[in-house]
Amino acid sequence: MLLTKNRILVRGVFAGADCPSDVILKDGRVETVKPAGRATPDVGSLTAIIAPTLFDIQINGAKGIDLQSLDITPAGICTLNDFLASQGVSHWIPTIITGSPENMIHSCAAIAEAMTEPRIKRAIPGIHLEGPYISPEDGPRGAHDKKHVRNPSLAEFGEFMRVTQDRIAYITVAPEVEGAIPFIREAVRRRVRVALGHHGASAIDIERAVEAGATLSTHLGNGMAGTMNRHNNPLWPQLANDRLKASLIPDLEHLPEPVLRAFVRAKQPQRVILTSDYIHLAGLKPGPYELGGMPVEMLPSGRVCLSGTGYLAGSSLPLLQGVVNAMRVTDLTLKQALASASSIPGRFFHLKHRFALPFAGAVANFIVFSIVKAKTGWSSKLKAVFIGGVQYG
Amino acid sequence: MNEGTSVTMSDASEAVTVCGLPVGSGRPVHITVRNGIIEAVTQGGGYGRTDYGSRSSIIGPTLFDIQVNGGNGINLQGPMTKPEDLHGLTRFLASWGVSKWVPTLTTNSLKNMEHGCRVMAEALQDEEVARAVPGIHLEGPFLSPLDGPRGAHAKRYIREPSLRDFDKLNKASGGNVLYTTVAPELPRAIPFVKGLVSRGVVVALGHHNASQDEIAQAVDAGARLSTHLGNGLAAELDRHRNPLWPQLAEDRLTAALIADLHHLPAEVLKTMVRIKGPANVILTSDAVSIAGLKPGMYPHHSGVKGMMVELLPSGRINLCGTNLLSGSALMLLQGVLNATRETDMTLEQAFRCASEIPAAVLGVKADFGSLKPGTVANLIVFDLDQSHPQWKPVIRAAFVNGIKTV
Repeated sequence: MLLTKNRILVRGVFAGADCPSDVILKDGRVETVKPAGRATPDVGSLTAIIAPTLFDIQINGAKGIDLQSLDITPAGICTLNDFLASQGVSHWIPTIITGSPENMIHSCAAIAEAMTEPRIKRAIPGIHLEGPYISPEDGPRGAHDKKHVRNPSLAEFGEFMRVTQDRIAYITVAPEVEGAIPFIREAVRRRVRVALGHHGASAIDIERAVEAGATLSTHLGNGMAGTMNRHNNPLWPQLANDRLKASLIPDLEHLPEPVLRAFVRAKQPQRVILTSDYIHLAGLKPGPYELGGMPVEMLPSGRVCLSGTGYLAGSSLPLLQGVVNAMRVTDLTLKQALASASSIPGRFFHLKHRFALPFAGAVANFIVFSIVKAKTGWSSKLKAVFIGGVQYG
Repeated sequence: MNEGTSVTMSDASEAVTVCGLPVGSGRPVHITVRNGIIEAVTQGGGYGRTDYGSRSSIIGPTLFDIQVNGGNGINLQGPMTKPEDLHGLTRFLASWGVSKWVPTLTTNSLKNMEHGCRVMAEALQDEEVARAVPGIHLEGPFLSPLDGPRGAHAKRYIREPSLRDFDKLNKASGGNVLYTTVAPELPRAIPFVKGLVSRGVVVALGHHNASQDEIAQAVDAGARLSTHLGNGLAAELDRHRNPLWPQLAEDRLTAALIADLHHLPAEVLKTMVRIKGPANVILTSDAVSIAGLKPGMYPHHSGVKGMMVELLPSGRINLCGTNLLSGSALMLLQGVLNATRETDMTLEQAFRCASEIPAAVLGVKADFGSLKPGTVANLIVFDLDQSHPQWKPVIRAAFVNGIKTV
């Protein structure tokens, strides 16, 4: 991390634009934006892309730092924040999955404490509770621990709110479980957004949940039964309901290409939120690890499998690479794919930050990257990250 | 509406004036038709004599139904089919505003299918039939033998793709096979698709259980259509690896959808239309022989002895005593209205999905009603009862290929 004291010349094509620009930074602010000139840039090139920083709404951990762990500390959350920043993610939502009440409260408290630091408070708009009020069934439950899955409890939810000083940004619930609908109403009343996920709900359950105030589908197409009825399943009613945005994991492992493409069409660009759903192994080297007590293996491709099986155990693909995947596989333009990982979730969570492209006078908040197109896929190469006027990575 | 009765056509030598709002336009018009030709179109709906319709009526184009197995008690399947059946069905469908339609022959013994093809060839000698029927659809026998994808097609007559068998059927039809539904995962299906395309026959994928790769290969080989997408596939699917997503995501495939809301729930119809886009959707009835009859019990249209179906007042056909869907009784105009109500499509877009789009995909030249003076009259004047949960249309008048059919 270094402070940008001197002038820095950044060159690249603004996402969505045709011609390259020069962005001159001084003291962490944008001094000038003008058409690319002849001077040698400090960062970027005529073909590099300049884009807003990213917002990832579902992070379970990374670099070996696990938000679910009883060892999690505010310092660990700061380290995690810096790692994400180095990948171009300026804003993120720490996700706490189904666990024992004590464990979940501990994680909530650690995150809330970390948020007392202004830098972290700026980066984290709130916490995501992914559970414990999800489906207990094998399949929809996914990798969540069955013994800690429970029915919605307003008393416990009140406790989560209390220890975090109301810093729960959203909660993922299964709409078909007992008490879910009144729970959704109360959560929404307390300004917590409600996402539907890890469920096996019917069209009617989903409709009721949306009427009660649910506005998001969590990693749609994952966290559901492996086999489904062709017509009566949780996908169609969520795809068809325009009051639900959908978060999608664009690592091409969680959703095959045609599924991702079809989902984006069905939800339309303005309702798509791309997320990494990072597990704590993200950013580590390939090899054998442990995840929630189970032996897992991270393959060189980044795929994390339960050891000895092909079963997907989590996601480790950087969000920027997900953006590039979505652009390649779906109808989304680069600008739209970037919006799905920045301004669209930003507006959804009422962030003050606008995820705008650089303009004169603005604090430097943008990323510079290039896309390498190969037969096997396109890969993103991050060149520079500026967040709050500070250069990361 | 002509339920179960013979359909007659009135003499069109006198001038008839209809009034209504043409689909996609904002102003009502008066249209005068004489001898089957549009004589005059005047803007404004308040003046002059009106024989049919009113300022609040809708004037839509005539329709193209690419998949009809029967209707009004007429069954095109089986060994008893006669050329008059096509004539009768042409008139029945015309009374519902359908100016073009494709008779569908479903899986049967090669002998029975050849008979069906010969009947089609003979029926197409009739000028009125030939005007309405641009060719036939072979829905089988080159389909998946698996329970589920096969649907109601008889397993014992399912065959592997064979250009020799196809040529036999096509020859019997007088070269009138317009399109063929194939399961792309069958042995030699890909060369079969190529062979059909080289013969000028449009290939549809349907009643299959194909993988993403098999679908891609079939599309590369020239397949252009998905037959009643979302039906004719296994009831239980892997959430990610199933025949739906690759077909939905493939823009070179236009999807035919049965918009009766029994074959596809509303949310599935809406989602499929959004994924394919209105320009890539065909609405079809897939109607069986009891379509257009009064609700009640009927012998099963497959002809299997002792098997009965029940046509419910909602238009759903169930296997007697069960809730198993057993065919469609949809009239395409109702399908157009259902799609307008349940999906993003405007009425104009939904009409196009049941007229111009199928004509373009199947390479059929047709005018479904340009409403220009001097052209042959093709139009449906109807009132829409929006208080009815299904938006039941009341047809005030219809001209199909210049003939007043309602």
